[in-house]
Amino acid sequence: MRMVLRPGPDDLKLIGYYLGKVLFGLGLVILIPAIVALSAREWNAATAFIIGSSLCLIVAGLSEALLATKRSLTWAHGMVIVAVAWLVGAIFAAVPFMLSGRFETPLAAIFEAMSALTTTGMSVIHDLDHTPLSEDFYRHLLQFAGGQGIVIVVLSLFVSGGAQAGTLYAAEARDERILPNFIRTARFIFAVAGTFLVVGTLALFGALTFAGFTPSRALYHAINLFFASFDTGGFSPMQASMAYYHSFSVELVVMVLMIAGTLSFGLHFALWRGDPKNLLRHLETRTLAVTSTLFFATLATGLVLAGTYDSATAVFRKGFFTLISAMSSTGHQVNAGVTYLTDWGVLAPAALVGAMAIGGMASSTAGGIKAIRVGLAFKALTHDIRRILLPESAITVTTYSTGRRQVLRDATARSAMTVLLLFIVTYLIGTVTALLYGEYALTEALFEAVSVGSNIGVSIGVVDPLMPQGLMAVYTVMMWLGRLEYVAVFALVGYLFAIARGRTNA
Amino acid sequence: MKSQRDALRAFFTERARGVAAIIALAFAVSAVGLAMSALIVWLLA
Repeated sequence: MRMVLRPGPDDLKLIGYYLGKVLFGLGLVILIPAIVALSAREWNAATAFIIGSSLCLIVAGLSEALLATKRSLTWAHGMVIVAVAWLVGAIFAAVPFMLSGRFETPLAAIFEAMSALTTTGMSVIHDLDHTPLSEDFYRHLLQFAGGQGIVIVVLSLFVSGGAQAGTLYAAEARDERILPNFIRTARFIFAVAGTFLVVGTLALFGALTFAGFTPSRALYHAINLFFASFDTGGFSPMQASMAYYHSFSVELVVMVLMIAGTLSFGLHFALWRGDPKNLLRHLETRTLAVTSTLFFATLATGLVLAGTYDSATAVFRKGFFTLISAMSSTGHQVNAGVTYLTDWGVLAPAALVGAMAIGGMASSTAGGIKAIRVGLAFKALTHDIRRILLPESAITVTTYSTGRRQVLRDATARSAMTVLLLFIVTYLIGTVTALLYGEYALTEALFEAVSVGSNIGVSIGVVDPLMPQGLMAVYTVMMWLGRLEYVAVFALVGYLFAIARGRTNA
Repeated sequence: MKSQRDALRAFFTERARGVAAIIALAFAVSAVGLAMSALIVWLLA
């Protein structure tokens, strides 16, 4: 097994150079809450953001000065850059958190940053309700940056050449090629997000004002809730999450934004171009429609049978909202996490775990296994059954639509099944790790592991500021793996193996 | 000047159509959710 070539100093230089560019972008992102902090006269927070931003910009400047290169990226480079960028990015993004004094340990700050960037939405912050405005804004802004794909956001702005960006775009688990050029695709994604930013913030502002908020508070909450909802992040400005608002209109707007966020950018594109037929034919839309209907029927039945809620409005506001929050991988909660254990019976939490495991659509801001993989796995299963039942001489062809009709190939089915299996293994590892601490029941451990591994953020209460550090570390890695859907991380592991054991060219 | 105005109109029309279609879809999904809630509560009452 000495077939792999050992990467040379030039390869590492190239990777370092692009990582510097990502940190440059992150440094600029951190400057935005610094401005908010200065205008809100939150001097301690402003200092923390300026230090965090400066660190990013200094490292980026050093990389530009020492590592600048005109070499082109290969597929392997792109994968390694993205995998490392998300780790390094979370560590640098955690610096303002570390300086804030609201986190028990540096690991807790990194967990929060990783949770934000991967749009998971689990939080280990102390006393969220009294956090400075700028710091809270920063948490939500990181979700927006991560949801859009921080690497592609940065590199499409600072790197010329579609091919370079394309390598990174695919590595960041955004493999839908909406437009022929990746830079144009990235710009379309920004256009969608930008338009929804205006429309969604205005709608939330209206709903919050209607709920009795003053205009300035309504605007602040609207912006943060937009970032957390459209980017399916799930952070909330208040500890009680969505339950704080007690407002049907706010919940409805948030629900619309969560659904919009879980649709793939390809479907956004089809709808922008006035092609709804594409939406209805798509395997992923159909899979999501069938699975969400089944999960909600199970969840609602469970809630009614357990006697948790007895009116349609309550089942809709609590049950349906939570299901959409789970399937879209947002993680907004309309009731305290512990109630899933104490009040929801058995059937409803089980349906919620299933919904969280599947998640939303590929090439959206949603997490989880993704509906397209579940659809492909189901197609592969029916294909195999048909092949067994039909005469041996018969040729069985299974097709599906992803905008255009495609023949199901073994490689496609295998790839979908592999990622599906890896997600399940990750859920199990998270569950077993939590169980090893002896503090959590199986239901709690499984629920939280699926929520973390799928980047959902609905919490049953395992994640809290005082949780065991080992479990926090495992959850941090799970969020990273889940966001990148394994491929880039495995490429990184392979690359490290090649550095250690690879064959030299000479 | 006129072509600029047309381009601007096309820009906003496309965005408005796209956002309206997605919002309509999201409301339709929510309506199905509410209908299912009512049906299940009624069936199990």
